[in-house]
Amino acid sequence: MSTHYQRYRNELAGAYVLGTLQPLVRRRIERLLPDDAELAAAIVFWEAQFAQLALEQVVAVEPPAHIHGQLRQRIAAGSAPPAKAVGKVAGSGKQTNRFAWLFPTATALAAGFLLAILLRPAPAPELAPVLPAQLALISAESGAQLWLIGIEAAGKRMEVRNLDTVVAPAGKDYQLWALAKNDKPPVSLGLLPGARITERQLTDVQRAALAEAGTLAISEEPTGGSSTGAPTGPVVYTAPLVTTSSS
Amino acid sequence: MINTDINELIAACALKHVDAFDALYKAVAAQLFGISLCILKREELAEEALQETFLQVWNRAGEYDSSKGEAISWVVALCRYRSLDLLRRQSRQPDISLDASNLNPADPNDSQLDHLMTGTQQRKLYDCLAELAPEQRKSIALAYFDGLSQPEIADRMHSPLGTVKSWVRRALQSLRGCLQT
Repeated sequence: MSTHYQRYRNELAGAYVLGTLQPLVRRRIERLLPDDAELAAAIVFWEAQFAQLALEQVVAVEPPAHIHGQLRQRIAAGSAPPAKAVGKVAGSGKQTNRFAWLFPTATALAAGFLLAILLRPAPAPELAPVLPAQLALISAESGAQLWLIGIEAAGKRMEVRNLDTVVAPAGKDYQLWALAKNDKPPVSLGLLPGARITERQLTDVQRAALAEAGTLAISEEPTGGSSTGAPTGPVVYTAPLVTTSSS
Repeated sequence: MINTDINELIAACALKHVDAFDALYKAVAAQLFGISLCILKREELAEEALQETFLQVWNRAGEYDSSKGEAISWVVALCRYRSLDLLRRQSRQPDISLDASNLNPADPNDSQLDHLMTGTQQRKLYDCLAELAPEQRKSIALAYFDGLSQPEIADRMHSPLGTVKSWVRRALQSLRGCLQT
């Protein structure tokens, strides 16, 4: 193997670890890895060097307490192994399927899927998932499922699952509202983040609104959300809020 | 926790010992969360990256080969790759929803890089980084700590993309040469 290639390979490995490679090159590297021990070793070399840098230079931040409990739940639920190689998912075209084991098909939504919707953070892995009391599946006109909203039985927590990695237009945020069956004004349930799964505590006002709500709506608001306490932008999606048998 | 302990915890995770998973989480979660926050800037995304990282560690612990490097490096790399996956998946730059002053070095300026250089002088990596040209060092820091792509680095440093590519390439060449001497 020429010195030139060796150097080139080392650079590729370094760029791979930095994350600066184009997706196509990254995928090519990943295809080469199983058969190129020196390339794999070069990547391990750079990972080790930069990992030490990160561990010494980046400030450690305690994650929220519920993360550990959620992880234990997911482990206990027997989460399917993800893609087999580091970074293999990146740019592989399979990213949208990464959470397929978390998000069964729509037809499963009304059945066993309900059991997996809300996972109560708890230290013990053997605790069963909790059936949400209220559900709303927000879909686009095309039929694409965008968000799944679950309200836990006690009504204190709401989980939002972004099923399609929906991101608001630049300079805008999507804001979720509870619409009462009567003429009461909408109550904000907060902004819809881009993250796949988020969970938030509900205030007493939000809980009361949800108890009377028949519909959830999403409006397009300026970044940071409505400043008036009511929707100011167009309502882009609505969905019925369904009460389940667990309530 | 020393690296040997992390190696042992990973080995125990491969055998599906949940206690080892808990101990590993306790040992490294805050460090990994800090790394994810540095890249993603948004807490909910960093939480997702952290969860994905630990699930990967749990599911793939059996694939870790201790003869090929320290377990902590493997875990940090998993965390960064997951964070970069999430970052690249976003169709726009993440909003800065966190106090950037908590993230070191989220936007490395010269003084932060000077601090970086003096952090642990005895380490060879730091000596080698110190030998790089400032713009090369900053390119590496922006790519590694902030997860910026080369076009994003070019924007941030107000320099042509080709120049940035050259800085990164030469920095990696120099670092590798320096670290091997």
